[in-house]
Amino acid sequence: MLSLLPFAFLVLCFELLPLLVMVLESFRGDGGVGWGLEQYTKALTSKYYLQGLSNSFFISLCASAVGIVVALFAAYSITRFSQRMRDFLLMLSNMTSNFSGVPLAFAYIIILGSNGLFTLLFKQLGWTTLASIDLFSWFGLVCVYVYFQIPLAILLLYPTYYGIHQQWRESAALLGASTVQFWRYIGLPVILPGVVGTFSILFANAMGAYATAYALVGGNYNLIAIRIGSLVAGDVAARPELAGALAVILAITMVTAMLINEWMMRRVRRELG
Amino acid sequence: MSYVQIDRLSKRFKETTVLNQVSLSIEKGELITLLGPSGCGKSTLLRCIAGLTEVEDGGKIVVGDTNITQLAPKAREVGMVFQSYALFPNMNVYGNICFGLKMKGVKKEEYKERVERIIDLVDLRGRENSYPHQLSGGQQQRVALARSLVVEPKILLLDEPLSALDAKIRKSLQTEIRRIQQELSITTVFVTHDQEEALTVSDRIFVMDHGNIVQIGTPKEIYAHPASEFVARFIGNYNVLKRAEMVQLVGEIVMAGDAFAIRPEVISLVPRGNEASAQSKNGWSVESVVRSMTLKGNVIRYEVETNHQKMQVDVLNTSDNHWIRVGTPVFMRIPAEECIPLQ
Ligand SMILES: Nc1ncnc2c1ncn2[C@@H]1O[C@H](COP(=O)(O)OP(=O)(O)OP(=O)(O)O)[C@@H](O)[C@H]1O
Ligand SMILES: [Mg+2]
Repeated sequence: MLSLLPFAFLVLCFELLPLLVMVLESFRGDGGVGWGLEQYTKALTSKYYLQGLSNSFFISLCASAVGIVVALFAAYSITRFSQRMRDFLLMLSNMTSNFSGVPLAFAYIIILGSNGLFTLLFKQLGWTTLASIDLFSWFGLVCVYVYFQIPLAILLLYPTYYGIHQQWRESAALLGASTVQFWRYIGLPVILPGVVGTFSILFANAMGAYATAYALVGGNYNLIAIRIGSLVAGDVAARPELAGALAVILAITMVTAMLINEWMMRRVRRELG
Repeated sequence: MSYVQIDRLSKRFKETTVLNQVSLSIEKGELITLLGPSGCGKSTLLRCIAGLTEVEDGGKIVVGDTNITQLAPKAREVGMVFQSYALFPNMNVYGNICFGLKMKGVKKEEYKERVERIIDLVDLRGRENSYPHQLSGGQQQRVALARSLVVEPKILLLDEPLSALDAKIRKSLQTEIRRIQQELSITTVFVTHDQEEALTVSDRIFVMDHGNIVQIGTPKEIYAHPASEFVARFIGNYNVLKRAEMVQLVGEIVMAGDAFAIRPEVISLVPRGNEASAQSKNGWSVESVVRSMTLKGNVIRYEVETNHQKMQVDVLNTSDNHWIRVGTPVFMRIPAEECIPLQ
């Protein structure tokens, strides 16, 4: 028991304490004076902040959805490769899933920015639709998020495929099921909990992504994480209390999303059973 | 012509030959066992019949009038039960059993009765809504059996279906599988490496060794007349002696054969000093010493040593039996007609 003490201390100091301070802060008035729901009222009645929240929400939803669908196929193919290839691909996923923030935004700007390599190439070729992609928009953000969502989802999903026994496929095949039917009735239902869990993590990951978004669009696109950032770090208008309230709202959104996921999963499972 | 005909079936994995030109035929409604030591190719043969493993060119599998060698597994009308049961974990008992019928596009109204009948047949009434993880091993095995049987396959393949179960349930399921098989009179291939199991359930036994079928016969034939040293050693606990060893043991012999098999239970032990009763008209009495004694339930197994060999002797464990102590000098009485010559 005693040996757990340092760990408990660590959790308390570095995980729970900051959270507690932030939550408390969110109930203070401006400048840390008085207590109340003032910050929440402000946050929830401001069109600006609500827009940031909904932008974040939909971008995260899209990026996570694209990420999970691509990863479903990618992770499965990884399980079918040879041991060496598999190790290589997993290492690559591991690396790219951590490749985010300023370097990632920069890489995208070089390639697809207004003077990016490919943008210029597309212009030369006369492919105007492709050349006119606006990287500093909703679409650009989704693209950049998807970049690190896919490898993360692969890493999380890949082990769940090993829960599918070869003999289930063989039994299903002998009982007359096609490959599609196998996945429809057995494969997917079995990995579903893993897929839903992964989706939750992707969603939370995207909602909280700050550095990548900030590096790409700066203040030009209204995302809740960027709003919180500027309220904390803004030299002129630092308002940590309002930032706290927004952060709490963000956290509640994420937790709610996870709960809904969980609930849906239970329903789906019951229907399949 | 037999119902199932397998002709010169071969299978290689890289360099190793796992099935070597195997040919066999099975009658309709018959239960045969493939019996052999681990790694001899039993599962591979089964998987080839099911179409889960491809066979080398030249082999042929015919069921009824259909050559199924090149057909996909789903087109073969073959049912298979795996050692691990392979039940679908996300479906309950009823769902598992219906699966094949659903996949074949049978309507619910049509299969309902059939499913009910099979549930009764395998004695799973009341467990329809349980999930596989809520069932015992024996129950899971019965679900697997029902799932394969309900689609009425032409052949049923069972790959060591009972090896994961404890001895008692195993015994009762052996009889149950046999009862169900006979009730449906379904042609069945049963794989096992347990000779007792094979002797219990089969119409005929096919003994396999290193990708070859080395002997075919009814349980009685196989047990009483093993054709080779391998079969004799594998079936029952025969004492197997090379010709030279036999000569060392009993002196010159007139019988033909490269080796001889003697069942442990045909030998009797007579304590020395009773020489009179040790004289046998048609057989040999060999001076020896009891080296060990093991109680095996209904029999007592003695290990008896002569000047040259060690032999196993089984004596029925009856209440009037006085156990012979280790170290006791005895005569080992071997009836000549019980020595089975082997090639
Ligand atoms: N997919 C495979 N690739 C390579 N070798 C294989 C493969 N499947 C089986 N083998 C080899 O073929 C041989 C026979 O295997 P098989 O599974 O048929 O044996 P078995 O008689 O069923 O044994 P057991 O009683 O242990 O189940 C073994 O030596 C095994 O290593
Ligand atoms: Mg096997």
